[in-house]
Amino acid sequence: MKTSLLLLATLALAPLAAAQTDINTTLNANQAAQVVRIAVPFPELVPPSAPVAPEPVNSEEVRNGFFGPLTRDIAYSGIFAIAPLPPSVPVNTELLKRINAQLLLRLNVWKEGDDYVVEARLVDQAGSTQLGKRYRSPAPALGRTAHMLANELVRTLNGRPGVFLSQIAFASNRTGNWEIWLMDWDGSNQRRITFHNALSILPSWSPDNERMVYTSFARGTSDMYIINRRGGGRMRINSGLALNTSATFSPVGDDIAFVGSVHGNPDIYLIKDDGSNIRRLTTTGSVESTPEWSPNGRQIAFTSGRSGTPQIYVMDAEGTNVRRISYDGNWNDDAVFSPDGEKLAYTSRVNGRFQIRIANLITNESRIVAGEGSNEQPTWSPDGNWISFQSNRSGAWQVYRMRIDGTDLLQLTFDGENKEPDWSKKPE
Amino acid sequence: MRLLSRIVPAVLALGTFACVSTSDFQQVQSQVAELQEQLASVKRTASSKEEVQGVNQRIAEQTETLLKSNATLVAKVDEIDEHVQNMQGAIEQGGYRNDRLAQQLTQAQHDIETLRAQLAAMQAAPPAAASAGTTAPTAGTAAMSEVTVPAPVTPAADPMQTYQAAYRDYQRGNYDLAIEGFRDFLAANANSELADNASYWIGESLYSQKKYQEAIEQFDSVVNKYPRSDKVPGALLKKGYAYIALGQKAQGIVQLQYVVHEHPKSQEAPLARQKLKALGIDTK
Repeated sequence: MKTSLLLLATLALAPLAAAQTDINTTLNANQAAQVVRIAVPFPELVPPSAPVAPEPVNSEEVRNGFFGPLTRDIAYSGIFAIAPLPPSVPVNTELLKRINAQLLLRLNVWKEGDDYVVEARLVDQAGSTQLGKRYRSPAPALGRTAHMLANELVRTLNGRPGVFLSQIAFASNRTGNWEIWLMDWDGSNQRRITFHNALSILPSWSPDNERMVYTSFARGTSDMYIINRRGGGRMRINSGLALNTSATFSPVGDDIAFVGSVHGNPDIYLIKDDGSNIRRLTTTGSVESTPEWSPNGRQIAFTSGRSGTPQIYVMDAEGTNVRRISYDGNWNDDAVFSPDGEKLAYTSRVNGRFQIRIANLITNESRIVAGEGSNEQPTWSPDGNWISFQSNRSGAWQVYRMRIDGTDLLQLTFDGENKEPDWSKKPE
Repeated sequence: MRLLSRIVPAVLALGTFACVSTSDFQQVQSQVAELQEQLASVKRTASSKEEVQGVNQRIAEQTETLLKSNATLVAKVDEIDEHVQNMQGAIEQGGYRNDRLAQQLTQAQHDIETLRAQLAAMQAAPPAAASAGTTAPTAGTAAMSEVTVPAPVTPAADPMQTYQAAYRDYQRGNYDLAIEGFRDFLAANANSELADNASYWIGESLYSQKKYQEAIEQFDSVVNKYPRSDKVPGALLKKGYAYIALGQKAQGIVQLQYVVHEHPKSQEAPLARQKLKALGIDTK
């Protein structure tokens, strides 16, 4: 916990934390039409009605630990735009009208013992309260409090929570070995989950966000392990095959799809999460890899070299009805279904570099989301608005996040090399 | 070589003790003969070693030739492999173009029918009616009043939109809506190139809902109505799985064996074989 705090500090929170008015986020025309302007003044560092003299509060701790993450979540929500506030003017409903803000988020943050108390009231132009929330947390959990509050704000507006409490699993070699790590959606709170001291890669979330399955060479061979999100309950799945990798949980039921091989030729297999009932789904002589389930659990996308170059295919969960999806370019890989099942994001080689391509399965149209360097291994946010991926644009592999149209790009990792992001499946 | 160095001092020693008894001399003579024989034998051995070496050399040469031709063979196999893959790629590309054409054809068929219906309506309605006004003719004949119900004025839903909406519902797991959508598509576009796909997706949606009996009937309809469709092996296999899920193992086995025998080259055949093996039934 302590180390992750240090890591959080190294992220340095950009200039965004300086003032909420600095935040600019890109919205497409469609979103801009529905955007609600909200004023978010810096919290008053006392209780709303202060009966007793409050304990002194470290205002920088509140700014970096709470206000910064909160305002960034709000700005990135896609449904709020933060209205700039004139300096040294009392914020009231009159001012709201003047700056054309429909909503005001009043915040009070104070200390009770070792805990911070956050009280939030969302009021409209008429002065009536739309949302009232109070949170109590120790200083290290202030960021989580910010994400929880941001989720509530989004839920108040469109009935669904935001993605601010979602987690991204990834592989990092910052400790000398590749191990599995977790981080919050904004790159904060990075923490190590596995301690194999051996190559451990390719994490993949369970549908309930409680477990991950990954590949580790801890025994010298490639094996699948399941572990819970806090690092406990580790279990090896014994398939009896020579190769075991790229495992991924079915969104329904207890099946795991993975790449296995018996005589050196990798194929897609299914196995129950207790290691029973292994079934082989592909039977070609070519290499099959990177299986990914559709959200309804009835389809599996995968990469196959059966046509001479790696291309994306989709089959029914029984291995039947195989269709090729990708036709552009001579290398397509790492396909993942969007949460609504309508799109596939995958890695596509364009002019010698790898880029993220998004293909619409309904209309068969596809487009490239181009970026610098090579950009690979996409994963969707639970709301389908964001994609996290790995890029070597900085010279080393790092994990990034962007909107699906390529805007609002953010580097999430900086320490060592970091790859293979997998975004948790549920928003909370 | 080492043997020779031992023999030479022995011969020299004979000379040193020359003037002794005849028996001694004879003994020495026989020893020399023995040594000569040994020498000859050593020479023979040496020559056979050389021979072995020669044979070895020849074997090595032959092996190299073999290896070379083996490498050529491997390269040839690789080449053939690549050809097969390229053909697979070409087939897939062809299939893709086919699908595209099928979609365009479906759209074109729809457009033609719409136009034809509009044409029929225009031909049926005399131009006088059009110029007469917007509503029913005021003082017209009975025939004219019959024409005032223009069926094609409300155009049938766009077929690709219907198909895509149904597929979207399937992907989202709204199976009831998907089934309804694909049925609508089939009702209006029975001759479409996508009819077999729509029919398969209805079966797959029912299968996803674990409505196995209905799924069996639907997959049956895919096989019977579109016997040349690429969805047939998949439909047969799913039919077999559905029977097994219903506990009708014997029926299921028959379906799986049918896949193996009737569609041995399909991607579904190895799946059927695997399932049969798991059920304890050997197929070759």
